[in-house]
Amino acid sequence: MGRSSKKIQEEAVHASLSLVTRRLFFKDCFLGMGGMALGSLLGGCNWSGAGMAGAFNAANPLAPHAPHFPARAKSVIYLHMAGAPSQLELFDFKPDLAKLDGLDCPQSLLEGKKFAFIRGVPKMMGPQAHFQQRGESGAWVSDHLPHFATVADEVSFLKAVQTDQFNHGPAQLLMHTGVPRLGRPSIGAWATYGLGSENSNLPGFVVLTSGGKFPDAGKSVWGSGFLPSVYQGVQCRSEGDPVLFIKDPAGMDRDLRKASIDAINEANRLSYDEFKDPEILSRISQYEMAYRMQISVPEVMNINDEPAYIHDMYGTQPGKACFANNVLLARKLVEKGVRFVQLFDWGWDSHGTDENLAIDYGFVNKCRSIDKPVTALLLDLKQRGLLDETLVVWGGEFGRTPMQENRDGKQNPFKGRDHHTEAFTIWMAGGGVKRGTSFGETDEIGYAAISGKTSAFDIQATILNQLGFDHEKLTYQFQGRPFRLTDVNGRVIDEIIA
Amino acid sequence: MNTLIGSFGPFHPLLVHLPIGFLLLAIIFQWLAAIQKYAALAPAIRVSYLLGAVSAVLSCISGWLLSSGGEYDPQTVFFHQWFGISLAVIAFLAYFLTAKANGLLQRVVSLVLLVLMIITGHLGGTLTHGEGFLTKSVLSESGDTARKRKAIADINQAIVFTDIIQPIFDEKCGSCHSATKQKGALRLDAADWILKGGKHGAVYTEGNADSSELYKRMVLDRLEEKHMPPKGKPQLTEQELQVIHWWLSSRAGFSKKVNEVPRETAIAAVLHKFEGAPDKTVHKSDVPPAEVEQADPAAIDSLTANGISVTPVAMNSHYLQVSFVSLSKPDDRHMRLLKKISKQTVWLKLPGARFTPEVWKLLSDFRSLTRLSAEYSSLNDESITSLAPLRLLHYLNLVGTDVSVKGLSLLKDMPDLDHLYLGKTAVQTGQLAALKQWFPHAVIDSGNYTLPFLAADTQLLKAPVKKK
Repeated sequence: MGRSSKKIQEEAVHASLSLVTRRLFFKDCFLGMGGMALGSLLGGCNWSGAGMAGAFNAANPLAPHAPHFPARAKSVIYLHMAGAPSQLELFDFKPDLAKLDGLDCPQSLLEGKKFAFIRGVPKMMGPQAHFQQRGESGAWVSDHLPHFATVADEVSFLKAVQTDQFNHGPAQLLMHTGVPRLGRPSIGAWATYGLGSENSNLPGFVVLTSGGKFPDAGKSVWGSGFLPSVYQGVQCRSEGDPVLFIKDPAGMDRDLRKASIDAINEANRLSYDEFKDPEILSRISQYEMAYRMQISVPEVMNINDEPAYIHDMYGTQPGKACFANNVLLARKLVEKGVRFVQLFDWGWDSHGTDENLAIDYGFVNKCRSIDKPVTALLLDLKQRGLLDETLVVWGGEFGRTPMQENRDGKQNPFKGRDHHTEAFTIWMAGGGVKRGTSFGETDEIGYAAISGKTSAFDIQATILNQLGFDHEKLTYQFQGRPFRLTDVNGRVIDEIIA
Repeated sequence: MNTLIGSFGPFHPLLVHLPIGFLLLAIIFQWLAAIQKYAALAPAIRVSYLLGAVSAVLSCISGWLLSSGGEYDPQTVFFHQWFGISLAVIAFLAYFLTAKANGLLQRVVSLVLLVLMIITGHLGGTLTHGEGFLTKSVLSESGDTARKRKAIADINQAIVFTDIIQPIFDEKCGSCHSATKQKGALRLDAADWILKGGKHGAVYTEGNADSSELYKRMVLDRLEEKHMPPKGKPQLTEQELQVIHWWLSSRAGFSKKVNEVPRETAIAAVLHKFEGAPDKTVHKSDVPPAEVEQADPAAIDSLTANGISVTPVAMNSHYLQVSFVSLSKPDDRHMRLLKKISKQTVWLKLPGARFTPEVWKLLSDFRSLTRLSAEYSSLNDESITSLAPLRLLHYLNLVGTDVSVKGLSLLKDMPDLDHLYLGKTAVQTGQLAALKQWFPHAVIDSGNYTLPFLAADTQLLKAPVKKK
């Protein structure tokens, strides 16, 4: 018995040795050595993460990093009004447009242009709001935002923002990921990749949605694209559990949860040893963070322990999923060191196809629902000394036409405006941005930008600049070349930087 | 053929490194060969000198072609040119001397060559990088040489060109279009030069900004190669462009005062912004200008392990930002750990910290501190004394602490304190006026903002129901 088993063993050794032929050896040498040489050559170009501070640390991907230069803003709260609010009823006051109200749109404005829904010759529509100049800066803000009007001196308006996408999804992607197609990392993901998380118990990038619907571009607007998935926005909810399934199921206590996560991580660590895929390390650290978040997130996401005067100020509706609650949460998150808080509020697509999307009904109600919370956010950040280091951005994905929408050539049942790419308004406040200024101008009817034009790339470059990054140097190596948020575009809007 | 020769010129800055390398090698070999141990180097001296001399001649030719473009300061070019030519000649001399045996003469010549090389090289550097390029820091590139805009007391009495336009040109165009360098043979540092124009003719068309090359280049798309200032250089602001447009189109010329020139309300508003002292381009820095040595990495590791976030404020900076936000209850132990990085900490966040009075005293050693967030902490009128020695502190957040005016009076003579947050403290509204006197330059925020309740806040607007 012993002898035969020895023989089998010898045979096996022989068989395996015969596989390693002289030819095989040379083949391996050529490819192997060549590959090594090529690798060192390419490595010498020092492309990987060119100019990036922390580079990706798989074991602790959210460890805080230094930016390129000292930051003016430590956090960003980006309030995105999904559907695109009308600049002509809020900030871009055009008295001359009122004179044209009801007249046919001149051909010169229609020739060679393409609109999402307008067909034939639409009618011009004057501002459907009453405007006043506000504060010391004399900024025009309409009566739709009576609270916000009192803090107009805190913000910098960009009145000539342009885009080249007239559909919601692509325009939102362009605004947040720099490309109107799927697959690129969002600005919050880039910021978290560059800075990590200041608070080791909370994600660096949190997303809150309201308005009953996701933004049209879906979760990709806060995705991580080709960046490691740990940088994608963590979507939290202001109603029910802040994160789905954050509570341990009935019958599982904290110790058992810990034991099971340890076991899962151990298994993952074994498979990392075998495959060396950095995504496995990300997964391990995410499990660990999830465990910590089970305690820390419900704590920070609980607005009930805020004092009554704060609730009054924001106009919150505890227990409900609403914009006001999300804004208050945004402040709480920033206070706790979250880098990027992204809010999406759906319902701003005022075409006039029904009452909710009417510029004189639904739109006014949307304005009312954000007026107090947004104003409260600025004042609350200010009184906590946080506005100085928090950049607040408000805007949509495009603007709305000075013409009344006539879908397919027929007048819509309610007053509304179509999607407009050539000029819209975005504002920024705090975080090292000038107070009480306005940059960019549109023509006398608000149709086209005439000076101080800015783009989504410029806004992205400016946000990154305030966070301490040169947008041309914050790169990630992917598919053989370094990628950046602004690709080959973008200029920091110095005119609004303090 | 002409263009072929001409295209050789731009290679001058590249070519000059050949003679520098070859000749330096020859000189080093010559001196080393005198030592017995390195005698074997002797045969290489001659060929090194020959290569050096030939490449020096090539450099001279390419340099001459480059200088004929006329973009450089003629005086510096003159000296650079003749030092360069003598360098080439002496290099040949050195080459022929190696055949002779006179060791002393050879060494003297080699020293002369070395000196010539340093001078010529420095002059060349001055031509490409500008005057004083060795001492000037990279950051203050445009600021140092430009004439600073003077404070304008009354904009109506200001001379349009001298007081408003010229300082803009000096700041934004001066590095390439002034006495030291004249790209495209254009100078913008005085009226005469502007009228003279550049290589491609006039740039100034009085009364018409849109046909003035000067203005056209400034408003070209930034991605266009001909856009000025070029990519990577500080750009003109929208206001500056508006004022330049107005200066050209309103025939303000070079001597008229603002009130002698017609101006629309729009431009008058822009002009008004030029009144007063020039904008301070450098806001009060959050990071001290002086460098600091690197913090002990072991100290940082121990802080991180305790849940305290410690990060450099920027790459290449040893200054640190420290945050306690991950900690649910920051206590004395955490603060004591921080002692080791007291010099490097510039931004410190201690929200909700409950330290004992002795531990608060540790703060007095954090002399680099510029921003301190101590909201809802146990900092009080007594422990606040530890902040008095922090001369660089300019942001102080005391929201929700027990600090009162009594404590703040101790910080009265802190020079830089310009952001003071006092919401929910023991400071009364009536005492703010006194604080304003103690801290005249500070933004003092006492919070307590409320928003009125408006009926519309919660009402929904409804369309009237249509009757059929």
